[in-house]
Amino acid sequence: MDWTAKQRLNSTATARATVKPGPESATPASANIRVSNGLKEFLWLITDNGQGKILDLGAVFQSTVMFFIEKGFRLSTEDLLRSWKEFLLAEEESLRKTPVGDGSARVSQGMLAGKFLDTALQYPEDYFHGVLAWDLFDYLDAELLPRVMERIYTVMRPGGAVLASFHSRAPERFNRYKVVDSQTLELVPTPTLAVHARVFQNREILDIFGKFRSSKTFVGRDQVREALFLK
Amino acid sequence: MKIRGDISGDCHLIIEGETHGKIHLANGRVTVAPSGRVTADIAAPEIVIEGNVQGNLQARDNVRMGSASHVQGSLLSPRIRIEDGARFRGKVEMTRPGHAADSSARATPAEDREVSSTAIVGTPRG
Repeated sequence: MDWTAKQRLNSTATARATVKPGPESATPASANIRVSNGLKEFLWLITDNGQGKILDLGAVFQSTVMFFIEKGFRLSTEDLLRSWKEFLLAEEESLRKTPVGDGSARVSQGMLAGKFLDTALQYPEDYFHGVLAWDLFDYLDAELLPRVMERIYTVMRPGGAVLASFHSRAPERFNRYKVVDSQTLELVPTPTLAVHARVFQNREILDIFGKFRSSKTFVGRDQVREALFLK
Repeated sequence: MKIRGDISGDCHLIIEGETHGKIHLANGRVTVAPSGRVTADIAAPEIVIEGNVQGNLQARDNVRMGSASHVQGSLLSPRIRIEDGARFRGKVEMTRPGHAADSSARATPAEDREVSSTAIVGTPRG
């Protein structure tokens, strides 16, 4: 059964509960543990392809790598937010060395975003079955975000799934995400890589995933929304 | 110290400087120290990265990426250890023990730097 068919079979349930109330978003045992119904659903969508290719756009962690590999997936990792930050620092350094009055040095945010994507997210078209993007899209520059979405759409296979998280209010700290098991994430507090750019309304999230088919949104008690979209 | 060219041998290799070219050890361990900067594919039974590598890592036994390591390339090994803080951009694949490094192409002899015991590539220690 392909993913489209799988999704079609599930469409009745999807229509009934497009926005599900989330489970416990944090267990009493540890504030850094988060139950992720989005991950559970993501795995359900991609399990038909045991040798599927997953792209994790966050930091690399042993537990995440082992989790997917033990399930038979092939995992690629690209810490997009860190790459963007380093790219901007390099551009700033380059600009600092440019003689004053050199007009050619001036670049717009759009040009920077385009230049960044000349080296980032370089994968074949229709390559990945799944993409993970926790704490990414609402941290990206407004000029970069639509270009990144376009590139992600291009590198995903038809029927592929994207799991992304969005904050409903400005987060108090910056976290990276480790997969602990098929429904549990560990939040790893990390020095801030980027300023939280904005809080997206649900309609805006649908807009930035405009080319995708909407699937489901899960809202946790911590008000973090997990959005799952299919290409 | 900078080395350009392929390195092959049958020993442990510690890289503290810069190398460009393929690295292939039939036995032993390749260690890229925190000061090491490698632009090369590495094939060895055991690979330990504490520094910076741009290239594919292919280990017969295991790969370990330290907390300050930075790797850009693919990673192929039966056992993988990634410490928190490591930075990695590329593809991870796990193989059956003993299979990963066997398929790598050896460097051409003319370019080889043969080493027969523990070798350290880098700045001399004072």
